[in-house]
Amino acid sequence: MATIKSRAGGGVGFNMTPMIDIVFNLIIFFMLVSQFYRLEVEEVKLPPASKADPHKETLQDYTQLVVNIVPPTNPQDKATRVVIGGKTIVTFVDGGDPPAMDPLIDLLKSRHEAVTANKQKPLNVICRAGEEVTYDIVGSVMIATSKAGIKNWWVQAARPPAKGGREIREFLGVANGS
Amino acid sequence: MKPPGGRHRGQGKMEIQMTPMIDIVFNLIIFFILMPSFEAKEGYLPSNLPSDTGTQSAERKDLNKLRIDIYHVEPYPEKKKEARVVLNGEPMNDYAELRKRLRETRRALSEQGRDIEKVPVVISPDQVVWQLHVVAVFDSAIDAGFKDIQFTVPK
Repeated sequence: MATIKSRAGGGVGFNMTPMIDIVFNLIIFFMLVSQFYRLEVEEVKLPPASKADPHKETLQDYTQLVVNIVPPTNPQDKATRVVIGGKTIVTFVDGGDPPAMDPLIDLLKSRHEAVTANKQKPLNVICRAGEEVTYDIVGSVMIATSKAGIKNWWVQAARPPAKGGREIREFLGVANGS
Repeated sequence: MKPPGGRHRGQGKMEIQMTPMIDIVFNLIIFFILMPSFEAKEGYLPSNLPSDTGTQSAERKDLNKLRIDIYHVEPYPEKKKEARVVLNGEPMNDYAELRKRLRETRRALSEQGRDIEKVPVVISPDQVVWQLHVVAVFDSAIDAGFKDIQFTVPK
């Protein structure tokens, strides 16, 4: 039977080594990138907004600080957590008394002062609140931010997929007004 | 008999080097598999912080201001996912109507020669209203072309 022979006389050999090198490097790169991103960002289901601006250029004029507001993750859990840089700063318990906001105000104030002292770009708080977080909690974090002397507050939202995604309207059960 | 196929510089049989092609093809496959995950799935809505001194600015009667109230729906918490949206005292049926009314208002204000970027839209949500509705109203106002969006402190 006829076989294709290589120069050395053996069967055709595929040199996989360079490809595996490249693939492994790509895997390592993307794993590390996702790790760095996760340090700041908690996993929350963000509310959708068609006009949310995805372009990072708009962020370049500011020093960013991501404030995550994470709703309870299961029906038994009643705690909504305010998380910055992977650390829970304040916990709101459903049905409990409002927590002291001083730790959050102090942290925001120290970041704001550090940014001002280092003559960095103005501090901008990016609020990543889950869609089921209630406004009393978001409002408390907004007031704490304001008390810390920070003026810029952006809301992070999910952008609906370009096509084939759910329409925003169907997310929202708006009862008839009275 | 003459062997089939061409000859390589007159010596061995012609070889097709598959390795570089497979490298490139596999890299392209990986690139196109990963590319959708780089699409921006999140974005930002710039806004203004409320002051902690109260809601007087939003409650002041000012015809140059648009006010959108968001109320929870009774019985609560059974209907905690729902909200009732009221634009300048007029209840809206859904977000499509809110968007339509905001666009009409924007057009009317533009015809009056008003600078839309300076017309404040005050969003006043109830304490227990979900962020889902707050962002939907915020998004509707931006969609209509308003830029100065403000929030009241929780009622």
